[in-house]
Amino acid sequence: MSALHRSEVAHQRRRFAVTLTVFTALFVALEARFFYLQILHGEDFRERARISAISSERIPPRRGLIRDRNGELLATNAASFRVELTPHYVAREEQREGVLDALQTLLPLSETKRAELNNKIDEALANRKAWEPIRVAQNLVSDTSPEHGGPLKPLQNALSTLYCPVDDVTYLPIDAKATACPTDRGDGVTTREPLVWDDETRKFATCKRSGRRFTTGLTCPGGEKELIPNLKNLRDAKTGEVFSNQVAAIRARLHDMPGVQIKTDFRRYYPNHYEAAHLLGYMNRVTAKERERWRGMYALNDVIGRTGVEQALEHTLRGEAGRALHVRDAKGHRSETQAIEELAGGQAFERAVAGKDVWLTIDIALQAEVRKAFRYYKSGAAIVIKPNTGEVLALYSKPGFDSNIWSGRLTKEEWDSTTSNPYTPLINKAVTPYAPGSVYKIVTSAAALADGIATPETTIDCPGHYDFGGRRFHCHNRSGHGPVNLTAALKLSCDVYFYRIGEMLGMDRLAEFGRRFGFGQPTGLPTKERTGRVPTRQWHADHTSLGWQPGFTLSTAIGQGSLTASPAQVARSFAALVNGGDLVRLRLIDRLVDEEGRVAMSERREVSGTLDVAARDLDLIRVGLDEVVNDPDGTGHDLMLTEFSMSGKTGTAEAAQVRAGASEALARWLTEDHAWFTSYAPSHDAQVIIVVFVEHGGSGSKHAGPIAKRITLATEKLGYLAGAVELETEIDADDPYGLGETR
Amino acid sequence: MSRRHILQERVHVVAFIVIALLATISLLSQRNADWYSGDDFYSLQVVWYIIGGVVFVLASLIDLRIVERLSPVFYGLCILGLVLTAFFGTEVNNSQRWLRVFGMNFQFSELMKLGVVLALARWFHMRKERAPGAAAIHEGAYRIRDLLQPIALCTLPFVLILTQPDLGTSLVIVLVAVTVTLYEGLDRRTLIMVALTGLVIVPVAWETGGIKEYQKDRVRLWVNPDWFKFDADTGVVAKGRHLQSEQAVWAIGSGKFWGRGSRDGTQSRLKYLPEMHTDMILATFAEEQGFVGCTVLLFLFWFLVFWGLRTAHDARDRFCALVAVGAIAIVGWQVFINIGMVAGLLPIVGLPLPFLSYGGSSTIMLMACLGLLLNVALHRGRL
Repeated sequence: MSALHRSEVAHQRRRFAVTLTVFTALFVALEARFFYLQILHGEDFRERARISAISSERIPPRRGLIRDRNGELLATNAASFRVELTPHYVAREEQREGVLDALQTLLPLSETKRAELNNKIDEALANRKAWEPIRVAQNLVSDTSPEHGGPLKPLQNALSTLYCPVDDVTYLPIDAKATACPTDRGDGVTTREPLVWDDETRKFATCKRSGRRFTTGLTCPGGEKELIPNLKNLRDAKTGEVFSNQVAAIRARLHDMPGVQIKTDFRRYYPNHYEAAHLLGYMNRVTAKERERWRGMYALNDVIGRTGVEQALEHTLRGEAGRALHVRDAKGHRSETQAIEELAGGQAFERAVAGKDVWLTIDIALQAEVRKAFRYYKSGAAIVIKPNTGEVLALYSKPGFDSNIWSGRLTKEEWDSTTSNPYTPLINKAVTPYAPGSVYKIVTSAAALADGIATPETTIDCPGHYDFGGRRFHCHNRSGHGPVNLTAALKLSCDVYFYRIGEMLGMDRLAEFGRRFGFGQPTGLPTKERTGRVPTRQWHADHTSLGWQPGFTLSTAIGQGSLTASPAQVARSFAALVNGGDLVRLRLIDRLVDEEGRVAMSERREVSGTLDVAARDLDLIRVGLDEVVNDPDGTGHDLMLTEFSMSGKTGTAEAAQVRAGASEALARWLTEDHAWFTSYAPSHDAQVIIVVFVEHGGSGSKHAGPIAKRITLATEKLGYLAGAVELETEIDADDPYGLGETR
Repeated sequence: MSRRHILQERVHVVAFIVIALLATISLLSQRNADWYSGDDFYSLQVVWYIIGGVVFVLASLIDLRIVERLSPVFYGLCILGLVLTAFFGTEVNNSQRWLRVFGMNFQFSELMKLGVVLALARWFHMRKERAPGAAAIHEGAYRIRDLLQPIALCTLPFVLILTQPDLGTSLVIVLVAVTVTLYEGLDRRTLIMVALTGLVIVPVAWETGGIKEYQKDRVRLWVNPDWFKFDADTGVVAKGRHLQSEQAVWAIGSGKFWGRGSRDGTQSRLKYLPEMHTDMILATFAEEQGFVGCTVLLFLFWFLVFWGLRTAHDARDRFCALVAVGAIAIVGWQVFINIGMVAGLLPIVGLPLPFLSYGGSSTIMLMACLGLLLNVALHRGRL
């Protein structure tokens, strides 16, 4: 072998070794990668793959229903429809245009909304949210009204309309020769209005009064965009508005709109609208903060109870959401081939637990009677309770609001008109404290009798005024009542008598009895309430500009001054008076019933304290209250019933206010006294307590009394006065509510 | 026959078994992938292997002198095919790679790999024959001016394939050409200069648009897995591609040590793996067969490379040696790039995995390469 050949062989060998080494190194790198992925991190990657394939669907719980004591539905759930679009399916421009075009025609969608939707899709795609559905429209019309859930009636002659997506206006077709508005609005209502053409071309016209728009053409103003024909063939019998069935139209086209789906959810619906609105409250969208606080309980678009029972029993009514796990393949379709248990770890489905139904102690029929009794007054409240058990039969506040409107589709106008209403519709006046006036005199009476300051025989002469601390305190009767004892003082509502015994009792003793009667304390209602104030010497020293003045005791003794009490508190104090001295907790909830109809919880009578006043003392006060109505001299004698007896106490509390910027009528209203009337019936064995409060209503006997009388009659008719004699009263056609000469 | 000779024979028998094993694995993998996707690629792949088998036998029996003489013709036909593809080819996924010939869609870029190898081998062989001072050259002293012709030989197909565009195949052609040239031997200074030029060309190509935007995106994703881009015009999220490769990585990892078992690959079944039959088939294989299966597969490929280089080492002349090196370099580089890409080591480029991936042109080309290798092995020894 030559040297040349040898070096050739060595060269060959080296090339072989180097090349093999290079490839071996590359393959070792691959093997190392397999080791890293499959051995070191195999478990991680298996878990990641598992998670990415599983999607969890929340199953919303059914919210509990609210019923009155007789099972009448007060709050229920109405189906509502919304359209959603999953961005992933419309990532490509051609697909998206097709889907948006279809949606624009079917819904119809304005150009602005379409552009907004388009932006949202872009944004979702850019932020890796291609699989999160975007809400396109909600509260769609099906064959029921999205407003009130009631059925819509098919129209015999469908109304063809033309929608312009550019200016978001619906036009009606019209003949170019037309000179007057069509009399038939298409919804069964006929009107006569002049027609005004926009210009000489006679393309667009307006009805002068109703503002309806008409067109002779098929294009939007400007002539670029075509009008979208929309056949409306459903009519709301209540409002006369006409609709087209959006849900049906979209369902029919779902197959050529990839990514579009119709979702059903349940919206709270209050069949009685304004009735008991303060009591039931309303619901609206949960805030980010609340979702944070109740982690995992609420989904993004969930609603939460804001006021009333909806708020107080939110956690009982809400229920618990369930969960369904699905395995999704790369295209987002549910996979049936993959055993879900294998990937989900055995818990593929968790049932949603429906919220519990709440049965209230309220009788909605009585509630309606209370509303009717208030029809001549602008503002006030009433509460009807059973004195022995504390059950609330009716709780009313005026003016009110429609829970349906406040639960969901609250417009700016509605919000403005409600919040700027001087009669404060959102405030539940039945649990808001006001000066109680003379109805508070039962507390002063009980205190005087219990402390021995007054006996049944104690007589005080009333000259019409009482001089104290260099100041003259007037009686409501300036000419005086003459000598009066306790029962007469109650009957005549003689202020001088109570000035005197109040002075003898002293401020703090009076406050002590006020608290025993439940004033200044919560009544036990589950809903929010304000507890008012029972002033003491200390309180005055701390809060009055001049500090404690002895004269304050006199004001407090007749329910004036700094004392405030809510109608609910007054009702509770009278309940204690007539039930033998037990201060019962007011109850609104009768029972909770779960999905299977089992009673989950039923509330019982609960006593939070006793008056600690002798029975004969309470009896004496009741004699006085009986005389208020049934004695010819009583302040409420006008209200006397013939077939069964009713007792009560009038109250006329000075409450003149000045409010900046008030109109003349409003200013006059504000100067009036608060009118109170508290009654119970039958007198000898009280079954119901009725408290009527008319804000700035004037005289208690003249204005609050007749309302209470009418409510009393209603309770009797509804069977709450067990044992009371059936009453046959002729109703005067001119004066159906027994208001007498005051109206 | 010497003892050494018998050993040599045994290596070739083993290599033949390895090739048969890989073909079997390929068909089984295609069957499983079919089962997941509901397609029938298996039957077609069987047909490709039958044709490939015929090609394999022909390539192993043909006189290598004829091959040498015809290699310029083969190279020319491949170039013609590529040019025709550029004008009349069918476009799939924004890439024009297929040409219809006699009713069959043919991918000339696959054949071109072999064409370049044959042309280079012949050129180096001829050069040696002609060179007066053969010794100087075989010691590895090629300088750049000596290599202008081979550079031109591989630049032409490189550009044609890159513009299809098919970055993967054009890269393989360059890598194979470089491997063959380095195997021949370069002047050390030239080697350094070429390396430096490469370092300069990449940034220049990046800046001047020689590298396309979508290719840049893939590199960006490879460097930073959290990077993503949204194209408002097309609505395409570049991240989407990344998600696919991420899914492939998850699939491989999910296999763990023993694998989930045939047809039990969750990722594959839920179709999270794109291109399941072709470029991404390794992900399905790895999910099913686990670390054990992957290791066996890698070893089989490594053995082929070893056998190929050994065959080159023992080849009777320069042409044969370079054909052997080129053929095995095609296999070796494709295995490395494909697995590296699926396993997340390299940016995503479209490239089939030899044997396992479905494909007519690629299977036939692979079998032709291996047939030529066997041919060289059987006619080993120096003349």
